[in-house]
Amino acid sequence: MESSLSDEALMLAATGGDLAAFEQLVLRHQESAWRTAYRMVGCRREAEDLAQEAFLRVFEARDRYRPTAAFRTYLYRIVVRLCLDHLRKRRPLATDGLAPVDSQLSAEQQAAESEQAQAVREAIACLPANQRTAIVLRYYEGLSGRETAEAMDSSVKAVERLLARARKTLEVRLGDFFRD
Amino acid sequence: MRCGDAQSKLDRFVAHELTSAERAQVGAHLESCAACRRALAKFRRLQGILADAPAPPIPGGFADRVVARARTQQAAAARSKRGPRFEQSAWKTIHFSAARAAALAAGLLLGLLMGRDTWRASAGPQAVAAAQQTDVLAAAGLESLVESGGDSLAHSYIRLTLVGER
Ligand SMILES: [Zn+2]
Repeated sequence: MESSLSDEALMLAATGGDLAAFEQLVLRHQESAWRTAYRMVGCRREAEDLAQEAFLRVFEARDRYRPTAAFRTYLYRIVVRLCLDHLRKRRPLATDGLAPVDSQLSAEQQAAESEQAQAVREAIACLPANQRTAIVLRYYEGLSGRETAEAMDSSVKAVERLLARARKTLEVRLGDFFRD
Repeated sequence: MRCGDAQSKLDRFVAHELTSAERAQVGAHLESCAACRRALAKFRRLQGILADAPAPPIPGGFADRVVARARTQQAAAARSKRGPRFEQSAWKTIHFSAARAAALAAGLLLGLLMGRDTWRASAGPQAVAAAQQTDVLAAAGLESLVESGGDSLAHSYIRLTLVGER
């Protein structure tokens, strides 16, 4: 059953212990939470763990939720924070610039992925984590500049700069695909 | 406007998120700068290339797994909140209410006495009673009832992530 309630109203219902309301929120936002985590860490198993953890944090903190910002941005913020923490722990010596490997991607799946898609995935994975975050939120999740800044705990100007730098790197790395 | 500034604004220029003043500035710069026009064309091309790399689908049963974990968490929280002492019998609850009422009365009395400045001799036990009330509330996990309002999202979030560092 699909609820017509707003995210914020569902969140308030969840605060009262309504698990069905929480489930609606999960169903509504699972794709974006999972996609974001996947693009951030590049591994499906880890992405599932992180996206699940993000929803559970939302649930744990439901009593303290105040609908002062869109739930969507609130959730992205938690996902991003968890992913960045995870990446920091995974690579304590070099957080950035190392392509994560998708250990869950089978040979057939890799073969099915177009050469271009694979190159894009690798190029994004090689970006510093904060540039990658900006690219994912802005160009894949379609957040506005302001929402991206909120989700990243940053300013619109800083996000602009991150994106400009990331675009330069991607244009170089993906140069082959620019000649059409 | 310098090229660097114009190029970092391209992103919001394309998304129509700039103020009309900023938009006019970037527009004017683009008209006079071939390098930035090339950058704009590259940016549009990059958007197409990025869009062509879809993420794999979400694993099946994701929502069910999340909700199951939330249910477990909720049950565990309910168990620890009730606590063994308060589960024993109904009279405990009554006793608890009575204790609160008594403590409250003591607090009021204390206030009155303090107002009259004649509290010195009798403050001891009443101050203890008032302090005990706070402890009882804390022990029952009822601090949330007296938690101050006006929490901002940012504060909730910060606390949320701090709590999460396990
Ligand atoms: Zn220029």
